[in-house]
Amino acid sequence: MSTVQANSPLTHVDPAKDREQQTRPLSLKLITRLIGYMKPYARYRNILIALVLMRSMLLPTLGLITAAILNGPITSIAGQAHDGMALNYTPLWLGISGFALLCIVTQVSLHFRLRIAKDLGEWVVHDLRNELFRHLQRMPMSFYDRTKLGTILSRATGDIEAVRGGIEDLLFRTLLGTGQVVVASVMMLWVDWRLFVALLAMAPVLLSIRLYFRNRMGIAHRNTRESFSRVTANLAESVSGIRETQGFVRQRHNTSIFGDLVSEHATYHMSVAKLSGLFGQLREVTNQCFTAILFLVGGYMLLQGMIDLDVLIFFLFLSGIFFTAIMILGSLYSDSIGVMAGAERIFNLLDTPPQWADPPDAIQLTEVRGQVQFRNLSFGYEAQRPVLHDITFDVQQGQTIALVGHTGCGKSSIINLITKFYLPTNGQLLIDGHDIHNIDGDSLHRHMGIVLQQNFLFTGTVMDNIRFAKPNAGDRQVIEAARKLGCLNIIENLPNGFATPVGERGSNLSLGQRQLVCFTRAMLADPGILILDEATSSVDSMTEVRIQHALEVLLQGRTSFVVAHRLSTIRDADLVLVLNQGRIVERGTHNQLLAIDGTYSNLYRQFISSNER
Amino acid sequence: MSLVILIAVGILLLAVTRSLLNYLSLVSTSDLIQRRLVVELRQLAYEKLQRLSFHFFDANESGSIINRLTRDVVQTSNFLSNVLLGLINVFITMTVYLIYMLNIHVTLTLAVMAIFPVLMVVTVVFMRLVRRDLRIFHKLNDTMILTLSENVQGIHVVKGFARQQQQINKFARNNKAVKDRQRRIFFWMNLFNPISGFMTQVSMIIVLAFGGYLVVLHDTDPAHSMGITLGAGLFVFVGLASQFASQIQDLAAIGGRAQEHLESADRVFEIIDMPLDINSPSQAVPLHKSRGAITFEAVSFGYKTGECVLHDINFDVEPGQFLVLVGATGCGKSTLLSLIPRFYDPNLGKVAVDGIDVRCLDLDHLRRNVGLVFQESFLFSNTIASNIAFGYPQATQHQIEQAAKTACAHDFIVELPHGYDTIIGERGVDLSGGQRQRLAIARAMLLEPAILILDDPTAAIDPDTEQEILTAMNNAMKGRTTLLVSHRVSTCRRADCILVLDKGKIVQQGTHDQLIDAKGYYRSVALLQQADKETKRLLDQPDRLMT
Repeated sequence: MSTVQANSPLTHVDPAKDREQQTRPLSLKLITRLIGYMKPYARYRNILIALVLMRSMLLPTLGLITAAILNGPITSIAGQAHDGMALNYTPLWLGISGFALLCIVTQVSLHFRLRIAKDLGEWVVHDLRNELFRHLQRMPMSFYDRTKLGTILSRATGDIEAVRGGIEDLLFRTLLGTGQVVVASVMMLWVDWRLFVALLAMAPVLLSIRLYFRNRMGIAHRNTRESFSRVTANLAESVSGIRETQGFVRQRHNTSIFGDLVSEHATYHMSVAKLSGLFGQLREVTNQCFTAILFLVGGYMLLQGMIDLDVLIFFLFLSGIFFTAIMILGSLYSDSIGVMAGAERIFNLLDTPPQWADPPDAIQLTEVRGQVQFRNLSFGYEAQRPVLHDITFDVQQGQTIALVGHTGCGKSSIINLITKFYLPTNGQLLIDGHDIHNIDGDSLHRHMGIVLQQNFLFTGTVMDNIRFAKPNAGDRQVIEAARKLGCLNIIENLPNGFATPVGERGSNLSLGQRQLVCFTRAMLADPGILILDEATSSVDSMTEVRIQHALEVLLQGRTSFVVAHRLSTIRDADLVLVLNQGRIVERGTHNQLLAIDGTYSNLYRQFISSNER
Repeated sequence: MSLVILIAVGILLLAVTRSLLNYLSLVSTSDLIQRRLVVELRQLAYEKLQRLSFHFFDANESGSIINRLTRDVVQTSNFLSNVLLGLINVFITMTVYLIYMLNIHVTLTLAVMAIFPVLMVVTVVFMRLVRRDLRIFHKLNDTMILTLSENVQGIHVVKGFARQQQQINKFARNNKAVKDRQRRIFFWMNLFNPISGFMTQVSMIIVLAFGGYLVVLHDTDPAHSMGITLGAGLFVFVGLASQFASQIQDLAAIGGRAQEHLESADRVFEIIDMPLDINSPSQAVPLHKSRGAITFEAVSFGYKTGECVLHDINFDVEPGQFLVLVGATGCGKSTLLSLIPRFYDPNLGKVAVDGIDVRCLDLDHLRRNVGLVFQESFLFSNTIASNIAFGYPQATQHQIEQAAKTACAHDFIVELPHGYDTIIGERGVDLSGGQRQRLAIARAMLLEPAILILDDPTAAIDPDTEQEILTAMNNAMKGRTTLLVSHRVSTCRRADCILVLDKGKIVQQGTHDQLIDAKGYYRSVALLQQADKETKRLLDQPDRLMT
């Protein structure tokens, strides 16, 4: 057949899905909301506004003073020297001291003007990041099933940086620019309204240029961002799959794929550069064009005796200020597109409400005995696709329940419900007699030990990871938990014992070691209910013995739900639930189920034969 | 009126020319940077990254690597526009002003210049100060992002242990550390700008004071050699000097900015300049189709100097043989296997394929002859077909399906919504562990490797899907030298040779029949895996229990 794969990228690209929604560049709502983030720092914000205004007056004053010193004291002394009179240096010194003083004021104000602006940006970014993180922590599990890690990271990095630029720079320059335009307009209007009307008549030209570029720049910016996220996604997978790449000698192929992506991104970037370059220069030319037209009209009026020369000069001077400010505002406009897009995406994430939350009067569990009841419960991750049907069973305090069945039969879903990671669709789930809907999730989790398939560890030491279950536990408690499970020497034999760094996602530890660390973590929590999804079916047999022993200790005296793969666990369970396609098809102890000679004994026979064949 | 029109046209012409030039310079600069420098640097770094040994990936977090190839590359390239081009621009302008000023008055010019060396010293001191902070800032930032991404990936652990508040606090601490460091940098940078600004203004004060004096000198004695006229002299000079001063300030600002660029450049060039410790030798022996013979001769290895993971390993595998490695967690099985495709080189001794030291072989040829399946196989977010064709992207659909059939994957693939074109989710969440491993086996099969390395492929798999993988493995092994890490006695039975490793040494070696009777690790393991007698009895006669 075809050789379609030859140019296949490393990661799949779906332009339709990648497409971001078109953002409206200048939304007043967005701007007000952004400004709202400066509220806690209102004092600094006001100081900054005052400084910006003060400096806009200070800078021209410095130039004026230089001229004044030259024209005043220096000229007069020169005159005195020329005429052979006694020299009076006092005005010169006064002038120069005044100048020096003003310089110091300018520079001190510059320091604060820059620093406060940067600080404001940093404060807002800092607050936004914290808010983002808090919001993420409130989101239920289903949110994480839908949302890619890359998306969340780019909100917290690229988008937030864009907002920083908006806060520390754009806002104040916009204020300043708008102020200048208004002042210049009022003054021009006052000097000669006819000339000002002539100036206004040219406004449509500016507007139409802006309109022309508006959509084009929006699209170009978006293309650039999207192509960049493709570069990043490709890069991330290249790093994660480096073993595969080197093992399968894909370096050259991957490099050429990456090269294409990078070039594509560069092309989009260039089109942005060209467009904004063109936009900027066109604005400049039209401004000059306006000046020329003003000059023509003004010159004509002057020659006709309609205005005086000084009116024209003054008007030309003011229109200079006017156009410079317009130019600045124009360039701010193209900068603001990025800021607004970033802000909008962050706010979209912040505004996504959690699908559900604990009710405000949720029951705070101070202890969990471990009584669990499922009553005609059904559940689906998506409403139209139920994965559990009519599940009913009772668990007494201290019992061990083994959940058995083929992949996808609903074992993990039962666990996801007991942990309140998801809520049941129909029917009831009671823990110690309370409906799970009414239980405060955190208080439940505090009395629950969870070991899941992924055996996820955080970057940090073994000690940090175990202590995750109980942050205020001392070293001794951690060591004691490991000792109880009988895996103390396994941990101590690691290169640095408890201080061994586990690496990114635990990569420095073997699967068996990772699982034992997760067991110890659950042990330290000393939970009333233990949830265990045994994943590692075949670690080496010596570790297996340790794990079995550790399990025995861990399960003792607490209600335990085990997605069981170990014969030893299943044999010792008080109740085995055999699931098939979301229904409980058999229930009983190991021996009872073998006697029925149904699904379970088939499963079991398969297992034994694969071992002993 | 014609004069008015002439001036108006003049203004326009000038504006158009200037804009045209500006536009051209803008476009050509960003072409140079975006289309050439950034692209080239990224490709160079990426190409190097692909070849770096795993030591590098063990030592660097993925987030930091990604940052280097994205943000840092751009910062490095911008060094050209923001620093180099800026410097050239400033220098040319300064020279012109300087010549004019010298023309008017030499001593006065020198007086203006007096501030220059001081400013240089101040700039250098600030650069040093800020650079250190920038480095720390980057580290703190990486930590913060790592905390965020781990919280997303491990959200079930965070929620499961009710640690949201603790993690919120942890993130807030990271975030605050970043903020404090950032503000510190802002403080220094914004102290620097006004100070350099003030120093250039001092030069203006000198001009006014000293220049005023010189004017007086001139007017008292017009013939005095040091004198200067007011109108044509000092007025013009002050204009020039203020322009000159602003250029000096630009220069200092460029110096300050240069830090961020240099700091980023460090991080990029660290990758590009990193020596490749594992590479094809210059006169590599080609290995087109290996026979599949493997020899380990007195091999010792440690990841770090001083550490010893493997001691004095010796064994031979004949072409087509089946070797199983057995041993406790952390005994060095995976390490031993990773020496064959040269993911690491041994510290002592040699590993040979077909009798040739692997260090003499063409690296790409060697690796193409070795098929790999890991404990946890990484699949790319791409179609199933491209994942199977990963090692040979030119493969036809037929070849891909053949490989999938050998790996017992074809049946489940065609049942997926889009068959071979189904896209695997970001972290492969849509597939079960067993399905993922069968895809990994298919990926290895496509290359028809002479040597097959299976590093405990059933370790992270539910037992009920394990059977399917075992069948896939049996198909895959046919006609190839196979090295397998396993804990299953049933698998070991069929091995031509079993190596038992303990703490990096081979402690037992032989077939199942030889080892099962010898006292030692293997025997104890084999006994552990037998079903207990009571259960066996029940299985054989289930009806008896009921009565």
